[in-house]
Amino acid sequence: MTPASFTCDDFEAALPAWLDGTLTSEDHATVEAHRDGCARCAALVADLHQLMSDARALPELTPSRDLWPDIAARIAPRVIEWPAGTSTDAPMGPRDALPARGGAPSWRRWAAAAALVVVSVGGTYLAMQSPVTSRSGERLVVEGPGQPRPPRPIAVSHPSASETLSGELEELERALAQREPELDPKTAAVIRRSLATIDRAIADARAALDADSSNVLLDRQLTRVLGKKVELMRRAALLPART
Amino acid sequence: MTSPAHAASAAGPSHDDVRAAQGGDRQAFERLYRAHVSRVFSVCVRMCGSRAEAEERTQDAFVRAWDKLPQFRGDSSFGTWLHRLAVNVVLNAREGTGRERAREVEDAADALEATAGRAAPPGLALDLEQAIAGLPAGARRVFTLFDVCGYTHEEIADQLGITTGGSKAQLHRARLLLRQALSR
Repeated sequence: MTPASFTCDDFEAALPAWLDGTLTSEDHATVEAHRDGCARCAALVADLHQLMSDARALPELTPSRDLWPDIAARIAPRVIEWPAGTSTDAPMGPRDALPARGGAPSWRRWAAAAALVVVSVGGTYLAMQSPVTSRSGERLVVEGPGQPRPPRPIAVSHPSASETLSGELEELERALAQREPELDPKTAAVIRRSLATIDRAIADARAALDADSSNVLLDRQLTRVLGKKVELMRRAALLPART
Repeated sequence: MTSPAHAASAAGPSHDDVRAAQGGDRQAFERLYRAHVSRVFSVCVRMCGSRAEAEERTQDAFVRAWDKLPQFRGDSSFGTWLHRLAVNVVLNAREGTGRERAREVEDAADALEATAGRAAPPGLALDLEQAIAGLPAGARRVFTLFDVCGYTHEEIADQLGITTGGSKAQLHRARLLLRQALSR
């Protein structure tokens, strides 16, 4: 670019780079020399500088209404009714009209996991409310100093808490296996490592109970560890899919 | 309009709320919403060109933020993270792949050329907001992200799926068209 042959069209073409400050010092001087001698191009520069300044100073805008109630409704935990015996591929409503691509849609897998978690939470509650029993079904009572003497132990036939949780864990494992491909791989790996640690604790507790099946503390320990595994798997089953 | 760089310094008081919201505290998340909704809504309005659509996208952005909060590691401020997430929500809502985005930007460039060549009707005055809303979609987004929000051309190119040269060209065309609209 030479100042003598530099036209208004040349100026407009060089303007973005000049505004960006990416011209060589020689070209920069040429552009500025043209601007200083051309009222039309000087006005263009002044307008663009004003526009850029106005854009930076634009005020923040506010929505016409409070959007929080709608957002809160969308992020609220949802309880999904899941009739007994309904498979995860059963119709769920109008969205079933959507074509399925690559197996069940992720929202439906998530919904299936969520429904299972809802059921699982109830099952765990009942299990944890049950009296402590041995694995043979005999109710076990812990006696302590200062406690009123408990009623005579009664043999009961319902499954132990650990047995109930073990059943839930099988269901949750299936749900997690379905959802795992949708999860962030690093997150899934952390979950699996954590589950492996819990599984070792479960195995230790079971081995100890095999040697001393009437030990209440060991049974409680097994129930507690199983409960931790259920909790972790519920959380994992409800994690959002990666995007 | 607060730029992403400015947003970093405005995030201090919400640190505890971010941590609480990451742990599932909805009240903390509501406080984050109250603190950031104007900035998110503003970028949505200017990128969408429609207040009604921007309200939908703002909701989408906060719902997405809630879902993704566990992944927020604090590498940038929460405000910056949320702002970028909102931009992506707007882009993903109306476009599919990066190729489609690039095509739309090119279409917008053609529309700008055509519009810039028309004679301006006399007596029509537009303020800057209206003029931005009247830009073709691609030019509006580049102008909003660069001149209003303070993104770099590299960041814009990355988010819109275009080249930095395309971003610069769009910006210049948007400025010229806005100048023309505002001088009517």
